Amino acid sequence: MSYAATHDQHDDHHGAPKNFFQRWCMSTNHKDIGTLYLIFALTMFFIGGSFAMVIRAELFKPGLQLVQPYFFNEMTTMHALVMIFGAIMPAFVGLGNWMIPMMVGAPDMALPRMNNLSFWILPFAFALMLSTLFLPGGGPSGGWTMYPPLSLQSDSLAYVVFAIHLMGISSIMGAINIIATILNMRAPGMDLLKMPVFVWSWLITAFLLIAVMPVLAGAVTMLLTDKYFGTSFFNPGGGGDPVLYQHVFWFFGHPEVYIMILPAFGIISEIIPTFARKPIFGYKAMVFAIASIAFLSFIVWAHHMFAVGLPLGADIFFMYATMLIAVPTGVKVFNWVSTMWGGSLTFETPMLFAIAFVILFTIGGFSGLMLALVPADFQYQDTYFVVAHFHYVLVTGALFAIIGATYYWIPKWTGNMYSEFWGKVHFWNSVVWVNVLFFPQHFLGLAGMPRRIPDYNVAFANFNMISSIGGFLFGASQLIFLGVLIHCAFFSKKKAADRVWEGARGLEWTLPSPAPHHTFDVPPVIHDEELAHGNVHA
Amino acid sequence: MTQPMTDKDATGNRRGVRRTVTILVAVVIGFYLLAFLQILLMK
Repeated sequence: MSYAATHDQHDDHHGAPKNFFQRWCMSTNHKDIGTLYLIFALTMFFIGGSFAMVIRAELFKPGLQLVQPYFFNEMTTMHALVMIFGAIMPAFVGLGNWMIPMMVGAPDMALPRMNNLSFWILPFAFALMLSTLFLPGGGPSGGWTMYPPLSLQSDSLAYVVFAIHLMGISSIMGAINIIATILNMRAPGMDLLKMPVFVWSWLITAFLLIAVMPVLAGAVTMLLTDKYFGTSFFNPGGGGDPVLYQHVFWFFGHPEVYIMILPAFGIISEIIPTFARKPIFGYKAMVFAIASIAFLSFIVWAHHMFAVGLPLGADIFFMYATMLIAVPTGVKVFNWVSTMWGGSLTFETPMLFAIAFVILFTIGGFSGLMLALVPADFQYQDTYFVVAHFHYVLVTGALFAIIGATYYWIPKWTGNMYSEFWGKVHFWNSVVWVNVLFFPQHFLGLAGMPRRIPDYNVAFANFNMISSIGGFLFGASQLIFLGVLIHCAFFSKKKAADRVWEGARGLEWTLPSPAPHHTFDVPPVIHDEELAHGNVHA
Repeated sequence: MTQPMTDKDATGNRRGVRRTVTILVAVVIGFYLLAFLQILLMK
């Protein structure tokens, strides 16, 4: 009897529907829906990126040169909304859709038709939101946080609120699907503490989504009723308080930050052991660290609000609670480094992105610790230091993990190898220019340059010019990524092996490349030595 | 090597999915209402 975790070679006897409309619009297949999510996220990434190019072009030198201030504000607002809800989150859902059933030995997601609905809501939600840019009165321009009373002045509030409701419904349905799949559809023998860290990270993220997306829906509903139905939730004139909106928003907003980074932690925990050819160091510690971070994310929301005038006791509580997050995050960083320590490392493109993630995300974490200090935050609040901080976390953190995951799994998805040379060209361009783009923004912030302004003091001119040059080149580097993806999917002659990477472990690598349309119709037998983190009983 | 899946296993899976979805939908509604409750309690 074989001791390899195997699959049924007859998996693919039901092929994909031939009809384009049936296959892509009516799909209930987790792989096809995963592909749709990833293509959607990539499209939104380039749309959101083009908004960023407008911002950096306007900030290239002091003075107003290219766009009007209102349009600039629309760009900063839309850039954030598109990148957060349109690019990063759908990309993680796409990766989860593709990989979670294959990693736990399930034939598909638990609720395949709901999966289709979750995806197809998104294009309509974003069409609605982006359409506001072409409407009289313009799009939202008060920042992605939509603080009242500023956001209530926008004519497009109703469109944006409805779009956010749709995105929220999509995310909640996606999260319910992922939890139902992981808790009920695992192959017999795939115990919870044998699951890959990526699956664990998504399980915990899905619980965060379920807890906080309804809170955002509640907050924006109250904005809507304040503007159109005469309520005064946030209107002091009627007995309300705008600061209450900030509390409710950030009760959603801070866990949202972790929704965008926990799956990235999972991805890095898959890539590093593969290219270090060692099991992940401290598997259980990694899982508990993710759970701890998720718990702590619920009790730190007011660190975004130190400057509004909280009671001193609240300031101190939220400061220490925030700094506490460094402990489980430190556990993860040390465990990734320990996994690499003494390993037989090779530096293929996914590993390069993973290593860059560990280093650059840690820089973003350190500036986060600086921002957690109440007295220091009074200085940093609303400056470019904050912009530098969250872009290190979200670009060199979340985005680099998504790009690394794409290079890591695309041979399994397409059956073809990508061009390693062009992958490395993409990596080195990205990692150099992203630092040219964001590192000077720390200095701008410390010198006092406020965020969300189209014009600035001439004292900030040099660093802004450097940052803009980095921005244009980082943006252009992503076109290399697009080229690599198209080449890999349609033109690559180099076929991928089933176990694409020598050191890869886990059920997904026991499947053929490309993965058949239907997999694990019959549950596979699980053998511990095949699992990604090695000896689970150690 | 694959494992046979009995009707009992499949029914158990379906029941588990239904139970999970019911609980999670209740949590979603609860948190939606919590947003309003938080405002009312803090006023």
